Amino acid sequence: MSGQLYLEGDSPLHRLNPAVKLGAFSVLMIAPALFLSPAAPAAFIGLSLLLGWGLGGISPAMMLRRLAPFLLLATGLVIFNTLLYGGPRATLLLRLGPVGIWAEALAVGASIGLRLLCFASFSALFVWTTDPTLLVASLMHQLRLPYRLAYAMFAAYRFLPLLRRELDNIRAAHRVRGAFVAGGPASWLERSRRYGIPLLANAIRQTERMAVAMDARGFSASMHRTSYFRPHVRAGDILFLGVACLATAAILFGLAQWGLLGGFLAGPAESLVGGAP
Amino acid sequence: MNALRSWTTRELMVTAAIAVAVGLLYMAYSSLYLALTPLLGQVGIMLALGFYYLIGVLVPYIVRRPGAALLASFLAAFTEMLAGSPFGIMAVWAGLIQGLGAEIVFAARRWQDYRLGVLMAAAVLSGMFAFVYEYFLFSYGALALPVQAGLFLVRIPSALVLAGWLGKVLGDALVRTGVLRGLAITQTERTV
Repeated sequence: MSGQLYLEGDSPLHRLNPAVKLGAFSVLMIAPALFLSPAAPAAFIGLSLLLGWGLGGISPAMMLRRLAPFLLLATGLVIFNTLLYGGPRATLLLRLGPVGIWAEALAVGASIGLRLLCFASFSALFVWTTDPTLLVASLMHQLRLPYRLAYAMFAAYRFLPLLRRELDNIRAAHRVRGAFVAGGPASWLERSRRYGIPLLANAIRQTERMAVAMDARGFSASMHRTSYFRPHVRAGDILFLGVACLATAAILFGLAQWGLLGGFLAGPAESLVGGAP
Repeated sequence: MNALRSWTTRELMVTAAIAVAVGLLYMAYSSLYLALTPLLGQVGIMLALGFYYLIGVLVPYIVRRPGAALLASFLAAFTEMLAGSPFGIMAVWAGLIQGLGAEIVFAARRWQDYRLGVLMAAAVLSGMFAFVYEYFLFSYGALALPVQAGLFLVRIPSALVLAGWLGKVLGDALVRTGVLRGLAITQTERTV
């Protein structure tokens, strides 16, 4: 697809089965988000950097560059969640006029901010090391995505580059008729309407032709179809998934031992900072 | 996914085309959304959240098939992830959950009723399903109760306008271009 982020390569991460990788990465992303401590997502961000470096051939510098734009947003989340925290509080860190900054609130805020970075980090690693075509094929063979849908996706991604050219055509058509929209936010809506509808309509018209061509070749005539290429789940994939789950459990257990895990889900926020009493 | 058997190839292709185009739009929208969040606050930005439920309304409104909301919502989110959305993999799960919310409303009307009220209800249930997902992902439970209520309530008007109403307007505008001829949306007698 156009504008894809996939980086071709032959690292162990590249060679993993995409569906299994999606599952393993989802575990690694969601597990730390279930706890209220900042230590859990921080540890998993570290893990993603190591994983990318060790198994994906992606330097930590590249990962950090990808995360940089999210820092502002993460900071926003930290501030919002710290100020509007509603759980139990005990330790006052700082008083700014009417607003108190509580240690428990700051810990939860930091946890949520770091979670966003953790999602972004694993997602970037996934998209960088996964061939989109292989991913769809894997969804079809491993996760039983109906093949008719998978092929519709392939076809839709094929004409993405055409959309770009279509947009230029529409713009030229407006210009040649002397249509003019002034700049500014109000005209942004008008422009979206003028360009968006024809763009979408053109895409739909293309698909009509494509559907006729597909039907004419007997597409979807039968329930099943054979494949020229079929991604398999190998022992290495199962091993990766197993190690990812074990590592997740080990990290969370370790943090809990150090009293750094905090409450589960939105539960009571005791023992968020420092050791257990 | 037995429901898919009743779909024609053209309906599938139209669904894929719209979902992929809207998925790319979501990718750009997510960056904007994240950039505006610190300015408007996490509750204020919920006014923009409804746009993510649009795809789960627009495609079912056009093709009127069982599974259309779930499928289109998943496809758009999947495209958004591939295009490099900041939400990445989490967006795909969100897409599935939101699509499920909308699908339940259409299923309750036996995939026969696509009046504005039903579209709006589908958008709102999408938002409620998404709320549960976000509740765990971003620990809304740790926030003060009025803030939690805000996070839940502010998305409702947004869903009504940016997904329910906009879905109908966009669908009707596409009907006027003539490209949807032969699809269920142009055969209004089927909707009664």
